[in-house]
Amino acid sequence: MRHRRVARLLLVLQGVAVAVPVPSLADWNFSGSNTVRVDSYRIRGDERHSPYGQEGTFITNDIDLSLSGDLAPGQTLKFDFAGTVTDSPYRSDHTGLVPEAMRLSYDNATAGLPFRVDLGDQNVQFSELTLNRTLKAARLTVRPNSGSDGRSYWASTVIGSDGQQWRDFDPEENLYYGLSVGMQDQRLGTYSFNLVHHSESGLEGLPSLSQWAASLTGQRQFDIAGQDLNVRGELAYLHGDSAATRHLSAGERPDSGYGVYVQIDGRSQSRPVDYRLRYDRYSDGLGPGGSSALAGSEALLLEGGWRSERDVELRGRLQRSRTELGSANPITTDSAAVSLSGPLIPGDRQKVRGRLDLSRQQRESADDSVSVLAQTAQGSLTITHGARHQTRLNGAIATVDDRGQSGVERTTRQLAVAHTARIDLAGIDLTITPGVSATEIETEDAEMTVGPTLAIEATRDRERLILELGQSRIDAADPEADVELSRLGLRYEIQRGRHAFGVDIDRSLREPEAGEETDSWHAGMYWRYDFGKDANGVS
Amino acid sequence: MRRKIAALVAAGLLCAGAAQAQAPVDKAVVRQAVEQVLRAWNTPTLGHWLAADFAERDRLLAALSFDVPPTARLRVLSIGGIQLLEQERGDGVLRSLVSVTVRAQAEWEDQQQGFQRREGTAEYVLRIVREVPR
Repeated sequence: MRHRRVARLLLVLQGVAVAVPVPSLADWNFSGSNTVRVDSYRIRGDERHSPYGQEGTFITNDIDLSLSGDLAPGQTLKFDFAGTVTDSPYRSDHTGLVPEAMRLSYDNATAGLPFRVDLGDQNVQFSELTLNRTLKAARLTVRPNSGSDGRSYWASTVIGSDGQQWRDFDPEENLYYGLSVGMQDQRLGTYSFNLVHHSESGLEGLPSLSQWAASLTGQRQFDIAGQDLNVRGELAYLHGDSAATRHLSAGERPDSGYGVYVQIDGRSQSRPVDYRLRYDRYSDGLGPGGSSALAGSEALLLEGGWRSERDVELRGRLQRSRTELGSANPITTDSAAVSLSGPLIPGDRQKVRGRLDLSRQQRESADDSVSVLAQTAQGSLTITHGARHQTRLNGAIATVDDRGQSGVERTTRQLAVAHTARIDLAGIDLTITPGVSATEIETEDAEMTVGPTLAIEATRDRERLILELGQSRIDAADPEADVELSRLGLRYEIQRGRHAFGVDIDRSLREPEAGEETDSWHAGMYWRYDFGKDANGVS
Repeated sequence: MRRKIAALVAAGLLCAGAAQAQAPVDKAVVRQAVEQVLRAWNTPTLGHWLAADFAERDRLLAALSFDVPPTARLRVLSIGGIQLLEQERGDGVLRSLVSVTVRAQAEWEDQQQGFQRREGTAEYVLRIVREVPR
């Protein structure tokens, strides 16, 4: 019954979508699409080992549309909507109509005080340490005239909620309100002051959270000694509860914290060299909800790159980070990575290209109870034989060694070889890529996975077919744990005018040495209708 | 898991691009980009896809090295709403910052417990760069 109701609603929606008239206003842009799809999932055998958690047939209608234009010279209006009507648990936690993204923006550049209003889903980036989140929000930004060339001012205020869906929208669960004021000057740089309040209701036994975060940011470009430098940084102060320490008892929780970062990006004016230096320090009490800054941490990063005239590129990255600084047992992670890529035959840059990546990460605690070393070496070789054939070899070896526990170490070796051939077959562009891959994992329970792969892609005019096949066998330490895996993926789409029809089929077959096999199928088909002026470049 | 791209004094960008019309982003390109990036998840090539200014880049790579089974891979279950967040033009290119909600699950074979999967919904922020006439 539920399927029928959803299907009826979808047919109505599809009819509405097809009938939507193109706006007659020549300066308005209107685009979007409506996609109806039916997906069916079937499992035969041991359901516990299927990639699909639920069997059944599900109907989904995705719709997105965008409308923008000028109400008058200097006055722009834009509306975006994306959502779905579905009963599929693979598409949404909700059934029925599920709005996913809605936004209305109005910009007036000709008012006495130029301003902009944004309502709905939007990326609010006041600064790295105060608010940098995609929110469901209302925001007003004003841009007073500075009266001088090359200088602009702004003030932006926002109220919004993070991590929410329009269905079950509860703004108070995770609420931000804030203010950002700043100046951008071509000569002096860009500076801002940000103030954000964040509150969260109590979660899973944790107390509720209320905090104020304030920061000053600065960014300026310099031309010094033949170097183009861009220097930026931020100094932040937080007062109130920190998300990082909310699990502590009231007496143990710090009620304030600070954070700072400084970053220098540089580029030589005479050599193909660029580099970056960054330092971050965040105290235990700093845990702004709107930031990714990690409370109680410190990090130093040095990164640089060089590219030669012969298209050889060398890049390196060094980082030391210390975390859990407020604890008695802080952890230090040292990372180093270097990559080298470029042509291997000097006279022909495309014939043979290679790449080598090396990385090393070491994590240690102050009392040596944690001591883990991870090292990775990866190389790839791409050989192009004329316009139609290409061979790729990829190899990698990775080790993880837990020095704190004897015998807990892991070595992973991977090798993959594939050849791509492009064939023109009676007007069809055919790409065939056979390959083989092998992965060996050495641990206490060693295992080896080997198998062939085959990918075929055929395209003609506005038709496209992709077929992917894979077979692998896992040889485990215990022969009873051996598994044979087979995968099939097929995608087909044909476009006619504004209409597109497609089919998706996936099959996963798992055959264990001991126990029941699992045969899982997904078959889906869809019809997409692109509407609006921008669809296929026609009105 | 939330993925964010660092702010570059974004209110300033808002000033600079306020009066410019935004060009629509090809959603098929966004879907292909999501599938390519997620195919590289937990492989040595993931680092090539992560922006240098992605704030959680090193934490993510360290977590994959230390904490995730080496054969774990992601399966895309569905790609949800695609939203253009910001756009800027320059040097013959159009840079679009796009938010995509993706439902995906990590899958791997465990020698003791057999096939394992962990499902999650995450927002990914992609920077799509397209060449345009100067």
